[in-house]
Amino acid sequence: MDFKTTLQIYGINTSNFTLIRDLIHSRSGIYFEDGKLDILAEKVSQRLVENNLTNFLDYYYKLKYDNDYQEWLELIKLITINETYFYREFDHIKLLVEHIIPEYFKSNNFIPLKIWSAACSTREEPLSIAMAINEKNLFEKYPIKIFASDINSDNVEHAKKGVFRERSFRVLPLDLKEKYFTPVDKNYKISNDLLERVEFFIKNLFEFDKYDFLYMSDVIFIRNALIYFSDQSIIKLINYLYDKMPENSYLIIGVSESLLKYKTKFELIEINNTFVYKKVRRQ
Amino acid sequence: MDKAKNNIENVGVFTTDKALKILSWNAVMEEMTGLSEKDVQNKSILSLFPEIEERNLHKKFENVINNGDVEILSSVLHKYLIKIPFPEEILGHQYMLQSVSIAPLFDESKIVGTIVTVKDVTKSRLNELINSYRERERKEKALSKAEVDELLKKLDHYDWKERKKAVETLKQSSSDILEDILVRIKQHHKNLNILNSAIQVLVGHREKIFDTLSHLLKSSDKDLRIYAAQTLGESKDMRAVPVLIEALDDPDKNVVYHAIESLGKLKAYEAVPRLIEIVLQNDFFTSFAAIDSLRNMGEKILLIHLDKLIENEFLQPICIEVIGEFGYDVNIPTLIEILKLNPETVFDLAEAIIKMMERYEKHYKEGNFIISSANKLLDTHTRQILINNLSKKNHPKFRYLVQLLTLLADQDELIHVFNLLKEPDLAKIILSNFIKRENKSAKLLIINLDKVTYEIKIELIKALGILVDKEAISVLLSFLDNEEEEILLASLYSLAMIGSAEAYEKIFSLLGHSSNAIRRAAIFALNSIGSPKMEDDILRLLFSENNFELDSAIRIAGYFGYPKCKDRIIELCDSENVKIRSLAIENICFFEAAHILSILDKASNDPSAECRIAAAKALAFVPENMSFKLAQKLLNDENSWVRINAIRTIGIQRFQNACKLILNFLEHEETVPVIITAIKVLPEICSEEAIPKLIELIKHENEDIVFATIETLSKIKHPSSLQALVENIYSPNPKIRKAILEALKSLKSENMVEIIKSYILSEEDLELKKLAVEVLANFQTESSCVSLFEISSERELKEFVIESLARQDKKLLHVFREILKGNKSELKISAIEALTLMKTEAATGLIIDSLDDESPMVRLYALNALRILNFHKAVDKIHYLAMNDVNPEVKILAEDLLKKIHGF
Repeated sequence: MDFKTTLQIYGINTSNFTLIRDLIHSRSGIYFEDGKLDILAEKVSQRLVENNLTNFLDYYYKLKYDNDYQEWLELIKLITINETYFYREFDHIKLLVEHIIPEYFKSNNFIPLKIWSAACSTREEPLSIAMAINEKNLFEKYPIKIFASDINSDNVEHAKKGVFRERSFRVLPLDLKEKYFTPVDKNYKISNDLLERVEFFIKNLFEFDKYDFLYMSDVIFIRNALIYFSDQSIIKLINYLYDKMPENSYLIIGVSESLLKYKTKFELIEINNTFVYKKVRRQ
Repeated sequence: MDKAKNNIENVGVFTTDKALKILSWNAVMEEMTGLSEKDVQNKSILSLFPEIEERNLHKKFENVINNGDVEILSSVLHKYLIKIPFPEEILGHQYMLQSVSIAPLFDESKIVGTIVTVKDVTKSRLNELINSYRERERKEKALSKAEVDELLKKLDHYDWKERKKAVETLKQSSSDILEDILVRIKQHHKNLNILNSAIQVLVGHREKIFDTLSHLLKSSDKDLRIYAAQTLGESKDMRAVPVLIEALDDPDKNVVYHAIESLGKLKAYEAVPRLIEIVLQNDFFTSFAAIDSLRNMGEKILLIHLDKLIENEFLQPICIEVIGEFGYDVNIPTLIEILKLNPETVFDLAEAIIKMMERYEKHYKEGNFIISSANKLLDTHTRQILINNLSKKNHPKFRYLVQLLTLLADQDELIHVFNLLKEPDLAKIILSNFIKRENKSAKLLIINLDKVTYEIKIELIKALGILVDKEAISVLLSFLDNEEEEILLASLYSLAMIGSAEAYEKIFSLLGHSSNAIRRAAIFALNSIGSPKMEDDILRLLFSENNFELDSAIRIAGYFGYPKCKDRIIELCDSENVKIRSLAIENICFFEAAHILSILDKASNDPSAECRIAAAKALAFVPENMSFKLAQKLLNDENSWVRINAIRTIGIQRFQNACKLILNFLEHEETVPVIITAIKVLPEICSEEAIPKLIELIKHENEDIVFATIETLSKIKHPSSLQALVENIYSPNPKIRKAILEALKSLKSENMVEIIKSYILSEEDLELKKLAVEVLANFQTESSCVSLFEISSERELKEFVIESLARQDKKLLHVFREILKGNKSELKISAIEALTLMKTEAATGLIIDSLDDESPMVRLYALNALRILNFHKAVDKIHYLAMNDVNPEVKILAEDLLKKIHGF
């Protein structure tokens, strides 16, 4: 739902919304561009309703001056909710198939490229990666391995069945939906060929010893998950990744996330308007 | 205590007993306050300095005495403990800044009082400020000769980062290095690195380099002339205009090219006639640059000449862009002509028509007129060109083509457009434009529901509601069984929009849904649909054991004020469930019940803050005479949100004495949102008596409080509130300047015109300048209108000022008439442009009058304007110009217009 509709339903006054956007930005580093304000407003308005408020300004004051840590947590949870769907933030995946994979195989013909989708929730991400690779016929050309993990065993079980609800298809082009999925009741089941392309693990990102080979992947996706960790944990994680990942490997985080404040050794690079972190050989 | 010992480091020290009575008071304290130890001994610090209590700082003392903590008051946060005024304000501070510590005074291990140290830190804060200023100055001047040499050498460094660093440092240094730089340019001008870096440094010192550059523009070396022409364009120095116009005759085309470009950047209106000449020479290289420069200036006169240029294939795209940016409906045939000559321009054409439509919508609310004009002019052949290009999805301007076709395609053509609904980004464009069409039906949307992605499906469902087509009801009802919350929400919204009675039962059954959002959407839909049986149904639901159903039922019962539901709502005010209880309390005010006040009174003692908030809200709708005392009581509630809502209620009820009550309240309230709410309610209950407090608050350290104060001052329409705003208009904080301008927008005051005008001229931030122009335009007085004309010569503001002039009231047209009678061509042209935007008969009359103007430029502008206005009354004059005008351009344009008249 767009926010104007939501606000009309809730009877919420729309003015002063950007104050909340800026407050969220200054406190959490998460920034919603003007084009995405609708999405943010829609989510924030849910918190207004829960708090029995009818204008954003009151909610802004509540966040800024009430020292209500619980409310802040609820809001952050809501705006970062791991709503995964196929082809979410597709630019990264596009970059993978159009740039990173061809680049890798310029110098490696036999060593498989390893891709790890960490904190993948219900698996739409690794399966989108597999789908995009298959669409470019790259599985036939090159040895590519896709690993996926999540801490939540429910998610892993859910994913192993390969059955998805309609909302997972939020932006997936219809022809791909028809090509890779078959309707089962009100849901859709993914083709086994694609499901078998991805190897699933139950894993906590911070249990470094468990399945440690994952940290040595050539491309690691950790998108929209960092928000759940403290600054200290993030620093620990990215430093560990930097040590373990091979040279010229890529770390890909969500479009609204940034590692800049952690002074990482990864280099932020831009390819075709998409930003990724690369472990570059030091001179 | 030993006084001498206490004087160390000039620290004021005093001790108190547990009742805060002063025991000792050192000499520094005496010096600071002018009170001797004798004066203060055995007196309470709170009675001597009452503001300590007013500012709630006595709690710090209590904490020290009760808990043995040490409290520190910082000069940044608390400013001071003892209020000691300066003879005059220093750097925004009225009182001595103090760093204070309050520590427990022990007798053996027992706390017997406090020991307080007070340090005057005003000087050190001032020193900090002064030092940072000096540091800046030092940095600017400190480059030694050797350092300068070193930096100049670096201008030729192979690494651009090094060059950049050197350039930046030199830009900040003093201007006596200019000579060295010039020598270097002379010696090394073939070396691009040095040349570029040096020129950048020169631009950094732009005030000093104009002479040098204009000299270089006559150098025998063409490279130097090119760089000089280019740099003068960047310099923003209007003295460059005459020399650049001279450079238009340079034998080297590259020099001419850069001179043209620079004149455009400088918005040099003096150069327009020469630039038009260059345009008409039809040499791609220079014509293109000249068109681009004239476009940068917003020079509409360009439109007259486009017909002569469109056969030049290379100039076609830029001609189309110009029409899109400031052309009129009369230029659409030219666009279509170009399309026929060169079908490749189809995307540029689409972009131009869409931009023209947006502009017409903005100025005249006539966007549809552009679309229908284009629709009439497109023949089968050209329409086919548009449709055929729907396959070129990767074209960067593809979205304009989709937008245009969605707006003007007939039903058969629309099917081609709707095939693109599969693409999420395009689908949004298609849907948002489809609902703007005059001719639209739900059918096309319904058949596409299964052919789109999930996200677009939701958009389609909502579009069905916006179309308000009953045909959509059955499909929307079927979605109410959908498991996906978003689909359910969109369907409820659309059913509410269509207002379909047959959806009532199904929507009613959703009132107990576990999702808050869905319940609220169902309530929204039911409130808009309504039903004669709803009162009974809601009463039944009020006895439900499901709290979700109860919640929905209370909201609907309150919304309609159903009398049958009253008793049950009163019962629910005692519900054990806090959520239900507070909702019932909040809604009770919508029923006529004799003992509402006693219910609210009871609620005001409820242990749950939620219920007390509800009581404070409900009180706003209870007859005034009954509720004042209760509102006062809630104003002292411990929960800040209860206080906030009590203040709002006081504002709505406008109780007698409310102003005094809230002003007193503001003296001791400390919670920021509560203070803000109190400030915002003042215009409802106070007049000028609130102003002194607001003048105090406008200097508050909390920005949110300052913004609220500014807003409130603008609402209390009194000369001294206005003055308080104007005094802060030069605040160093741009956010405060912006807030003040926003506030001034709602005010009209003749004596502010000059202030705002000089503000506009001195403000550097373009956005704030524009905001100030809006303020001026809103005054709608004779002098504000004249001032707008005066600032219309500010080049960066011109376009915006003209739009503001066009919004002036018709009673101010005499100002336009005076301007047109005057002798300033530039102002006259601004007047004609604004009158063109007004498009009224009287405005057109003034334009017709200026066909007699002595300046050919003004006559040209007037003729051009008449192309889109009703010019039949001007036929004789146009005829005269076509036959007799001394200026060939005026003649040709007049002839063109006559042809159009004969066409009629």
